[in-house]
Amino acid sequence: MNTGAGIHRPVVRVGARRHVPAVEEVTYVPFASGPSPQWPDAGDDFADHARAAWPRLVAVALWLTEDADAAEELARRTLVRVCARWRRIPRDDVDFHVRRCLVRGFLRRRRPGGRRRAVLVLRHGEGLTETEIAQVLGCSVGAVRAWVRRAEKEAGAEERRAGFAALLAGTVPPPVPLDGIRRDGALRRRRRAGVAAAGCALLLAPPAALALGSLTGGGATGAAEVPDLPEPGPMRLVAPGERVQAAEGVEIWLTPDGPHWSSPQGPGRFRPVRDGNLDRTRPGVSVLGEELSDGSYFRTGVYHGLRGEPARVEVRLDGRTVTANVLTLAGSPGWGVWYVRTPPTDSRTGHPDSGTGRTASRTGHPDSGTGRTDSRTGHPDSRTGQPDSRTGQPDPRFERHPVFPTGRPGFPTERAEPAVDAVLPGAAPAVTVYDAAGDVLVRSDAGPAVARPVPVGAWRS
Amino acid sequence: MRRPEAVGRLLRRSPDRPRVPLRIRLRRGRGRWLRRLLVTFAVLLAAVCGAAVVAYRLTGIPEPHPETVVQSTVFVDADGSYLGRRGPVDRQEVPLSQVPRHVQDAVIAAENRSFRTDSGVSPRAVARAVWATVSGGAPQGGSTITQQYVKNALLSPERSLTRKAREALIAIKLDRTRGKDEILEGYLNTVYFGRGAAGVQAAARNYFDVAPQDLTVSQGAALAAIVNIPSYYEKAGSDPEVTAKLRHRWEWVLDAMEAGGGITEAQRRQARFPAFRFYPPGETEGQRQYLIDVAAKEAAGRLGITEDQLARGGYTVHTTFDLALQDATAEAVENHAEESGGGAVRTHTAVVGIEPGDGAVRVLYGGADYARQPFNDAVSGAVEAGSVLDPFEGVRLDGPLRGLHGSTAPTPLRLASAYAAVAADGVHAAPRTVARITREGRSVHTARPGTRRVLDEKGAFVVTSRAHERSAGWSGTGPYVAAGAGGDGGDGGPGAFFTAGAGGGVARRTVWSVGYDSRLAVTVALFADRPGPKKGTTVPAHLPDEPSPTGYAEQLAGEVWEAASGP
Repeated sequence: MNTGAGIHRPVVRVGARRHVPAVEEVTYVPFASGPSPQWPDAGDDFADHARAAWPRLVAVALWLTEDADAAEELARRTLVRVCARWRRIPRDDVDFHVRRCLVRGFLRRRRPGGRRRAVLVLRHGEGLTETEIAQVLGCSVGAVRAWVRRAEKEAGAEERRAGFAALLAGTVPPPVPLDGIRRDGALRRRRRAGVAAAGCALLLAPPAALALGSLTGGGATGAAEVPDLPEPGPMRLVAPGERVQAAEGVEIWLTPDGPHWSSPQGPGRFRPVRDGNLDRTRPGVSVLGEELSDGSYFRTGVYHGLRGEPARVEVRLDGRTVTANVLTLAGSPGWGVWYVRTPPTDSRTGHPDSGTGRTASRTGHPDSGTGRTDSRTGHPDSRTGQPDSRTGQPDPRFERHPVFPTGRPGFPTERAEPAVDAVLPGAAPAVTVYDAAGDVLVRSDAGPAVARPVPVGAWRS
Repeated sequence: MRRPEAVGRLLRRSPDRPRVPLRIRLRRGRGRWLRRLLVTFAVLLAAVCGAAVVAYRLTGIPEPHPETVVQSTVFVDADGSYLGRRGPVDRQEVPLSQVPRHVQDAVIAAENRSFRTDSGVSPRAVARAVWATVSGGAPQGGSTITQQYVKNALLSPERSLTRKAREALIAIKLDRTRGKDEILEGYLNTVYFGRGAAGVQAAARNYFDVAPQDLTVSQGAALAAIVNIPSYYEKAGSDPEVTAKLRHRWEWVLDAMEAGGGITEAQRRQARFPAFRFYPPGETEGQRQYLIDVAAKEAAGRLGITEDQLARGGYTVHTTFDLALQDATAEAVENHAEESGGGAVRTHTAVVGIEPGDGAVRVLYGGADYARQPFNDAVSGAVEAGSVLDPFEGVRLDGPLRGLHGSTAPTPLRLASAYAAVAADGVHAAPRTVARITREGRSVHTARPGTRRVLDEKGAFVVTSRAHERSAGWSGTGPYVAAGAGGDGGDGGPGAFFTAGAGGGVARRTVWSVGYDSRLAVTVALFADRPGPKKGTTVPAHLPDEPSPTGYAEQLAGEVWEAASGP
């Protein structure tokens, strides 16, 4: 390599220094900060710098290792490392970094006694100050001073210098293997980048996974799919014998035998559901009415024998749909009690009743044939009342629309007799029991059984 | 650069070398400084870790907090229906095997999804809670189930950072020393569910009136949703707003359960928001406290502990009462009381129904309202016997009934047991109200009938035939005698129905109505009192004439009989 031959001369010149060992220490300062004569400023070009530094590197490596082959290898490795991180080496302090790289490379190979040797070489070979040596080695100045002092006990400074010069005598630095250095340097740089990337990934992986997990966790809560089901009606679970104040003076309680009522009209009414009084094999719902002392109507009844779990009971009174309260025992006994209180409607009872607003408020859907849909999708508990389709005005109470037109046959507008259930086929009020999916379980005005369509071809079998 | 002479030593070393600029010097030493920093950090970290290890070693698992050990004792009737409870807190422990797996999964899904795998504390959960707080999201708790259990059951309720650290240490230790199931069991038995109910057993009863093993998937998920803010969600059912909020969280719990594999997709789809009991619940018949009083006294005696120990012991007392029959009796008495109207004279009614040959008390009516009259007329009321003991005249009585001839005022319970012995052909069974006592699912006491022959079969026959004579001698016995006698006839055993008492005409002091056959012996006792001269005292009075007390007693006995022999 012609350039390699060209670089030889300065090294020879450096090596020639040993012929003038008596040179004043301070004058022999090859590495000053900033541009130095021995390590010409290479600018940004690594090749220039490497060519300029190579002989000196080999020489220092030789002092350190005391072996020509090892020295050349050490110098080459040093340049590979420098090449790999050339971009990050500050240009105003290249010599220091290269030297440090060299020393570190040496120390990496030779642990015992390595530091001592390095201190001696830097002090007497290179002629660095103790501060600079400390910076190169990454230790304290005091430690360097201690090393130097201990070494001086064995041999004086001049003696050392002579030794180093002798070591260098006759050695001819090999040409700088620039291509190999560049290739290895690039390889090393790539490898380092890969390792760094992997390290970062490892470091960032747990927090990222956590963030992702919490995000998806949050997403799961946020994206909770609420099934599009109709609003369930007010259902209340009661313990056996637990008294429920259904209305003024009306108490309802359930025992496993059946529902019990106590009202001003009749204390302690009992309707057993066990002993064949009700046909529990088929779905059915009964209706019972009673006029309360304040003129409002209290309506109740029992549903039984249902094929599914009831979720809502609606009472249709003269075109209005009311959601009834439901009481049931624990453990799906298959029957339950619905009750609802409706405002006074009869002209005979007359006086408007302020106490009925509560019950009326959970009603109030104009029924135009789609009452069921209305009340399911609509507002079951709007206290302001709904605009009446017929009058066009909010009408929280129902005086204007008689729930029970007088003269309609079959409905007990009079006092209901205790223990007599008025099951009213086809007459108001119509009571419908829905399950949670909105399907009709039983309807009081549809007869005792839901008529099932005969499937096509059923007659053949 | 100015060089003062004082630094001549430096100058001698490098006289012609310019000083390295500070920036470069700092850069050269950067690695060293970084290394120092790293070492410092490492030492600090090691110190903290060491301190944590030492603290962990020094922290012991404390004994459960005394307040959380207390359980209440629950009384149930012969069918297992809830009668009432005694004790300072509404809590009973159940083994984890009695809590359905889906309820456990629901609680884990709602409170601490990584419970089965984490090590007592969950840094993830803490980080998520911190993140939620910082980012302003929905506030989340960072506590694992283990930590909550430690906080609820083992530590005193105070809030501080040291307590939090201690809690975490104990949680880790607990997790390493005990199984997950054990921790979950402790948690489920101590966590507060609102409505005064701690633990899943009381919660299942207060919200759904079921035993924990009967909880459905929907109900379990609802309970798990409640644990978050129990004092708010406890109004579920009665308050529409609370119900809607709870429903939202219930959906969330079910979704989490489905995501965690606790329930299948089909189960998720079929789940319907359950109906709740209201809180506070409706009132129950004032009778139950009488029954609990009697049963508690007997249960404590059988276990050889005080009633206070019983109340705190977490027992389940299975009584012999028939709650439906009891309620029917109370209703019948109440209806009659309304007919008889007011006045200064108060009529007392005591009803006792005993199973002959077994002694099990099925009905015990001893007063209308426990709050006004805690004294139980049926058990401790001495009612003048009058002619009701006449059938026993000249019949030799042994054992517990030995003194019956001489006693002028037996308690209704004693008289009922005497006629029950007659119904059982002379074999007396000590009246008992407790059938079985269990604790945490295990039986600790099973009562057996204490039977003893007190009169020979001939004597029993004599008593029954005399009683039959008496029933013929009284007027207006009506259809009830026929009903009672008819039942006897079909059964083939001894049986009678008659009414007797002390005094006669308008000066009737007591009325007894006794009916018995081989299945049940019913005794109705009527007496009256009126306010005495001093405040708070009463003196005996004559029974009011209208309506006829004998008719009332017979009718009542008949109604009880009818209710008992019904399906």
